[in-house]
Amino acid sequence: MPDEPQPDPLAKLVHDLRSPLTIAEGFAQLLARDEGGLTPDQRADFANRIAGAMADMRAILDAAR
Amino acid sequence: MTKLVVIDDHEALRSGLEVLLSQAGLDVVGAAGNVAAGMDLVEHAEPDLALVDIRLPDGSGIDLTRQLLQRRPELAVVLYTGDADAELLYEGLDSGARGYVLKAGSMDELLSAINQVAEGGSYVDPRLDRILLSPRATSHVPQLSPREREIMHLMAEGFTAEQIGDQITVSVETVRTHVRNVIRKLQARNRVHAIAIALERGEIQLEPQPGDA
Repeated sequence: MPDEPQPDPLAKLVHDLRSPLTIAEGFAQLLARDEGGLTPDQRADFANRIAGAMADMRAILDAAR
Repeated sequence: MTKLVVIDDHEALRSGLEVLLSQAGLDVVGAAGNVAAGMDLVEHAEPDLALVDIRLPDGSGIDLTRQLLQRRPELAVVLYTGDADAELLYEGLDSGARGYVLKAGSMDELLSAINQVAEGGSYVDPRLDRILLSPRATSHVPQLSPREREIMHLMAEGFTAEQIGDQITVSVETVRTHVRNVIRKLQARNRVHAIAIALERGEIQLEPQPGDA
């Protein structure tokens, strides 16, 4: 079987970081724009998603070193 | 309300988008993480729009788009990708996708793109303008007529063919004929590509948006 072309490591890193960044940004905006419409459970869920996205980014960067 | 599915292999992103897009007033009717599940999902959930990542574990989101549109030509597809790659972009536009959004953009940009496409318009991330416009597409092509320029300008602003017809008092079929002529004149791959070429050549110009530098 012929060798598969290897992806550019930097392009892969950038691609991998985009997704958690989008999540963190999106949920942070939701929290920032909240004018009392979110329940405490929703706020906790959204904060956890931001924390999870940050942890994902840290893991991606650690793995790339 | 627009019925939408999310097809992305990144689980946290997929699940996050489901919540974020629902919060923004869209009806997210399902999510899938690969090509096979995406085909299945669209078949059963019958969405109006599919948000599709290009890199999927069992194939390309662009191939998935082609397959989806073969079965459901009325489906609106927005490709959502971290890759600002010229060949992928051309291939994506060729596949029939009506939107091409970079993950480098904000959630507001994604929502704006989804809404434009859901309303029958089209969208290409403005970060791709420079990549999209190749010399082969922008040189030695005939000029557009004033009417063609007017229609392409309205299309670039996100209006649908129906809305343009109402605005300039012609039938929707006439609008579509003008668009086909423009695509042919500009040697474009589709209407999104034609808009980008027309913008780059200065045939049309967009109004500055609030917040633009």
